[in-house]
Amino acid sequence: MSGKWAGRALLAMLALLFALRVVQLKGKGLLHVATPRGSQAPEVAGPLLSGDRFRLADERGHAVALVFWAPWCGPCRAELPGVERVWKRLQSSGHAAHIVAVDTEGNADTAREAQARLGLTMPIVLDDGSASAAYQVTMIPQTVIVDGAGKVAALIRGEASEDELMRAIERVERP
Amino acid sequence: MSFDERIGGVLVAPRRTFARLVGGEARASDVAWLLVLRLVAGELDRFAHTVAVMREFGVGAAAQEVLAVSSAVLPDVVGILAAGMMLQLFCKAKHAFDVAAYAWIPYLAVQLVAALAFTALRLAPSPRAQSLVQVAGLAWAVAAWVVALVEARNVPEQKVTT
Repeated sequence: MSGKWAGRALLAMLALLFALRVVQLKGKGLLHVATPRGSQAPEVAGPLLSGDRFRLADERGHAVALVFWAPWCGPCRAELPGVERVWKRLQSSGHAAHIVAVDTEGNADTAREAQARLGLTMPIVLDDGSASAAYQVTMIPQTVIVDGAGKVAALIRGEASEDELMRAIERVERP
Repeated sequence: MSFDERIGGVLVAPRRTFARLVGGEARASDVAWLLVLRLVAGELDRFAHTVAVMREFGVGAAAQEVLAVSSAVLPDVVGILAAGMMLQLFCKAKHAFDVAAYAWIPYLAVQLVAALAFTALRLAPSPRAQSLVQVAGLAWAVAAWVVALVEARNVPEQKVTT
């Protein structure tokens, strides 16, 4: 095979991959958001690292920020200490809003290790994959804020700063 | 050499192609274009989801998503830069940096064949399969880089620097 044809084959493979991905897009439902603002938030239920069990349905009446993360994710590890400080501020100032870190890996050992290394005291729920799938978590970190009525109120994709997270929670609490 | 010949020659006739690339036919834009194409073709589903995110949550959320998606080629870019710096270190060829970038093409070819196979078969690659693909691609890229190095050191000084 000459270099020219090998080059064309490489470009053809790129084009074919593009075409295959286009075909597959239709069945994936990625062209719409699974949890648009105002929609009922899918249930998140799973064991907490502390040993209790978490159910989003039990959290009605106040806002809940679900922070999707994983122990191996660098941006998540960078974000979580700030999230922890927001959680402590909420606790100390008597806010009703809660923050829950949802470990998308669902591995208690690695989550516990990250918890100790980052000095986290906020609740960490282990996801078996169902919450990540329901919220269409294609990237982490990602924060979904659910209002007191159990509806999706805000979404922060990527690393959220402390101020950004606090403002978003306050906006949901006092619309 | 045309664009097709430059990128394909690295795969099927590396010595001859690298000799010509070192001689001044390398184009930095070749690999840049391939990186963009690989990003668009490989991460199309995530780009499509970005459009949905933008409609629902605004430009800010979509911009964060685009940055995250673009980071998919970050390891490739770092590898290309490292290969360029190493080649520059071992030889003083004027276009060493551009030439080294072509060594990434075999890695791309292996990744593409694997992605096509998994996509066509609608299979999610296992971690073991992913590792195998990575190792095969890297091995071929390193071999190509060594050929580039040999050719860069072989080319007479005046031909390299003109």
